Amino acid sequence: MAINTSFALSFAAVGLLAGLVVLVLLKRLVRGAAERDSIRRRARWMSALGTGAVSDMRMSELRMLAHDAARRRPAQEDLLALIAARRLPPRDERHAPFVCALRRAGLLRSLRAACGSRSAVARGRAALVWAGLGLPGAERAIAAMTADPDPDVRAAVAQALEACGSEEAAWALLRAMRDGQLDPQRAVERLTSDWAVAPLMTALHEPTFAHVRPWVAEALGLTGSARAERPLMRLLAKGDEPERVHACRALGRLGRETSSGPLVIALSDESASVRAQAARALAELRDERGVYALVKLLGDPSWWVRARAAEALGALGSTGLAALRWCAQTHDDPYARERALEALSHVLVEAEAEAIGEPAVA
Amino acid sequence: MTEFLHEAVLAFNAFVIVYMLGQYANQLVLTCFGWREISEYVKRRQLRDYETIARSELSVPVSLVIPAYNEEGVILESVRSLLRSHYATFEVVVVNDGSTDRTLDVLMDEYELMPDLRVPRARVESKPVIGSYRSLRDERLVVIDKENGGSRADAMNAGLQYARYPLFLAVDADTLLDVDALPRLVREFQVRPETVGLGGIVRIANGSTVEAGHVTEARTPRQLLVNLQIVEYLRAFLVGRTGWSRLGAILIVSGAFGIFRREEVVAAGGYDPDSFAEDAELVLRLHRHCRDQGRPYRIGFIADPVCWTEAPASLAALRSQRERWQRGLIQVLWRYRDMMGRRRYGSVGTFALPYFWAFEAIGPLVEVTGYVVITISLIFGWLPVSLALAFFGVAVLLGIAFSFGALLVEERAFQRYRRWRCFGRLVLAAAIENLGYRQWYALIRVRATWAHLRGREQAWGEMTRSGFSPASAPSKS
Repeated sequence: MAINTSFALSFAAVGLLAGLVVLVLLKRLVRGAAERDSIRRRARWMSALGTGAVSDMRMSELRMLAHDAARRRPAQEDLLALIAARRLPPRDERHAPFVCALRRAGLLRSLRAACGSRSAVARGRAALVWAGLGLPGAERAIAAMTADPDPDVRAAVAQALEACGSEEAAWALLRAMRDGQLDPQRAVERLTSDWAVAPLMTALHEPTFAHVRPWVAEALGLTGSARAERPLMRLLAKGDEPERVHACRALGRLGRETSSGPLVIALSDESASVRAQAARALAELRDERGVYALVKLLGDPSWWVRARAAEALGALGSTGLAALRWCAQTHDDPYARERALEALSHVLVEAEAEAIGEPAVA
Repeated sequence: MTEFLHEAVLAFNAFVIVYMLGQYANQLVLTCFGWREISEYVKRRQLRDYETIARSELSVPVSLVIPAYNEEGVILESVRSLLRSHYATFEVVVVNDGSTDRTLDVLMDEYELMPDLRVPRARVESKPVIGSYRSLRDERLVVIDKENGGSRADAMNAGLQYARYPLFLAVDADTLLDVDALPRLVREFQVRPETVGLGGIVRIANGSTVEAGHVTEARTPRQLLVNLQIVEYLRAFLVGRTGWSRLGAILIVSGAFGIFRREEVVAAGGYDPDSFAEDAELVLRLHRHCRDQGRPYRIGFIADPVCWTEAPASLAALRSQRERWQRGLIQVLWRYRDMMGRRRYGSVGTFALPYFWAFEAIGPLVEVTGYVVITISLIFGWLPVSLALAFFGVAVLLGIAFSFGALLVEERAFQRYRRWRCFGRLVLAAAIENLGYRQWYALIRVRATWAHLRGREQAWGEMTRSGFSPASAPSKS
C-alpha cells in the first residue's frame, strides 16, 4: 500500500515537473512569437503612414491596423509604445486623415467602451491611447475618469490629460487636485506647459481653490511664463504662510530680475520658511541687489535660514563671496559654516570647469 | 533498544512527511501569491510613467549610501553606475569603513575629492568619522571616511547620519544599479506614503555584459555554481519575497538593495552593528516600531528595479557567505522571538516568523537528520529501498518543480536571459540543484547553526572579486 502510494506520488511529481517544463518552454516560445508580431505591427503602422505626404498614406492598411487595435490588447499596447516613442500621431498634415481612418475603423468607439471597462488596466490604457493619438473628445471623456477608484488609472488619467495639452485638460487636472482625487504634487508635474498658464492664473484667484493655492503657485513657477510673475508677487505680498513660501519658490523658478524687489522684502518676513525660500529664490535670480539683505540674514535666529543665505551669497558674485568667506571661517553655527563652504566649493568647481571648458557636472 | 529505535525512526519518518508537506504547501502558497503579484505588476507597468518621476523636481530626493571596506577593485565602477542613475535629485554617499587598501585613494584620484564640513543630520551610533569629502568633478558624490567598525551596519549608520535626503537607498559596493531603478522605487513611496521600506530584486551579474557601469545584456556564466545561485536568487526574490510582500509579511529587505525612509530608520535606532544579518534585523525592528505605534505602514518588495551583484564563484567563499546568513537569521529570529505568534504583530508575528523558525532555521536540521534516519532505516531493513527511493524522488522532484516555477515567473514577467543557451543553463541548474547542492547547503546551514549555538565568533570571510569591467583589478574584502 505504502509502495503504491509512493509510486503514485512519484508519478504525480514527475507529471507536475514535466508539465512545468513544457509550460516554461511554451511561455518562452509564445512570448518570442508575440514580440516578433509586435515588431512587425509597429513597422506596418510606420509604413502605412508613409514618409510625409498625405498621398503616401495607405488608408486601407491604416484602417486595418486600427481595427486590430480596437479589438486586441497587444495591438493597443503597440500603439502605446509608438506614442511613447513619439512616432504617433503624425504632427503634420497627415494628422486629419490619420484620425479619420482610426475613427472609421471603430477605434474611438472601442476606446470609449474601454474607458468604462471593469479592468483597471484597460481603462488606463484606453485613456492613454485616446489622448496620445489626439483623437477628438478625449478631454471630456478622460476628465470624467479622474475620480477612478484605482490609483494607477488616476495616474494614467493625469498623464493622458497632460498629453491632451489644452485648457480644458488643465481645468480637469486642477479640479481633480482641488477635490483630492489627485495628489497635488503629481497634478502640478502635469501642469508645467503654456496651455496651463491661463487656467492656473484663474484658479489662483478662485476661492474654491484656496486650499490648493500654494500648489497652483508652484505650478505657475514651473511653467516659466512671464505672465505668472505679477499674480505671484501679489500672492507673496498678501498670501498666508504656505502661499508665500510657494510664491517665493515659483518666483525663483521664473528667474525674472523684476522679482528681486518683493523677494528682498520677503527676506524680512516673520516666517523662517518664507525667509529661507526667498534667499533660495534670490540665488536663482543671481541679482546682486539682494547681497546686503542676505549678509544681514547670516545672523538670522534660524540655522536653516542662515544656511540658505550662505548658499545664496555663493551665487551672487564677488560681494557675496566675501561675506561667504567670512561665514565659512568664523561663523559660530556649524550648519551655516558647512553650507558656506559648500557654496564656496561650488564656485570653485564652476571656475575650474570654465577653465578647462567642461560642464561643472560630469 | 532496537525496538525503541525502530519505533523512533518510524515516528520520525512520519514527522518528516508531515513536515515536508507543510513546507511544500507553504511554498505553493508563496508561489501563487508571487505569481499573482508579479502578473498584476507587469500588467500595470504600461500605466506607470516612470519618466516623469525621474525628471520631476518634485520627486522625493534620495541618498544612495554605499558602505565600502577594501573595495578598491569595484568601487569606481559602482560609483560610476550609481551616478548615471536616471533621476533628478540624488546624492551618492560612500562610507569608507577604515579600508586598508586604496579605496579612498582611488576615489580621491578619480573624483578629485576635497575636504568638506558636512555635519550629521541624525543621531545614530557608529565609530568616529575621520572626515568628509566632496567631489569637485561631481557635486552629487560625498565620501565619509570613518574608523573601521568591523561591520557593515556600523558603516551604514555613519552613512545614515550624513545622508541629506528623506529617502536612503542602501547598496553594496560590488553592485550595479539599473539606470531606471530609482524612479521605480520612489514611485511606491509617492503612491503609498505609508511605505517605510522597500526592497528590489538582486540579480547575479557574473557572465553578463557590462557597459559604462550598467548591465546591458544578462547572461549566465559557464560555472555551474554561479548558475545554481542564479536559480536560487530567482526563487528567493521572484517567488519568496514577492509572495511575502503580497502577504504584508516581508522579513528581509536585502542589504545590497533596499530603500527606506531615513527618519523612520533613525527613529527605530538605525542598524545594529552586532547583528550578522543587519538587514533582516532592521526590517524586524521597523515592523515592531510601526506596529507598537499602531499606525498603518508598509514594508514591501517590487521585482522590477534591479541591482546586479557579483556572486561567489568558489565553494569556500559561498560557504562563508551562507554560514553568515544562517547565523544572522538565527540571531535575528531569537532576538525577536517575543513577536512570534502574537496577533499584535499581524501577519509577521502569526505567519512569517513561525514559518522562518520552522522551515528556515530548523529546516536544514530536519533535512540532514532525515537523510541520516533514512540511511539507518535502510541499513536495518526497516524501510523498503523502493519506498525510500520514491520518498527521496518526490522530495527532489517537488524541489525542482518549485525552481521551475521561479523560472516560469521570470519568463512570464521579465525574460532577462534572452539567449537560449543561457536559458538552457538555468533549466539545467534548476534540474540538478536538488541533487547535491541542496544537501551540501543544508549541511552548511546545520554547521553554521551549531557554530552559532556554541557561540563561536563569526568571521566575515574573504571573497575574491574580479570586478565588473575587464579593467578592474581583483581585490579582496
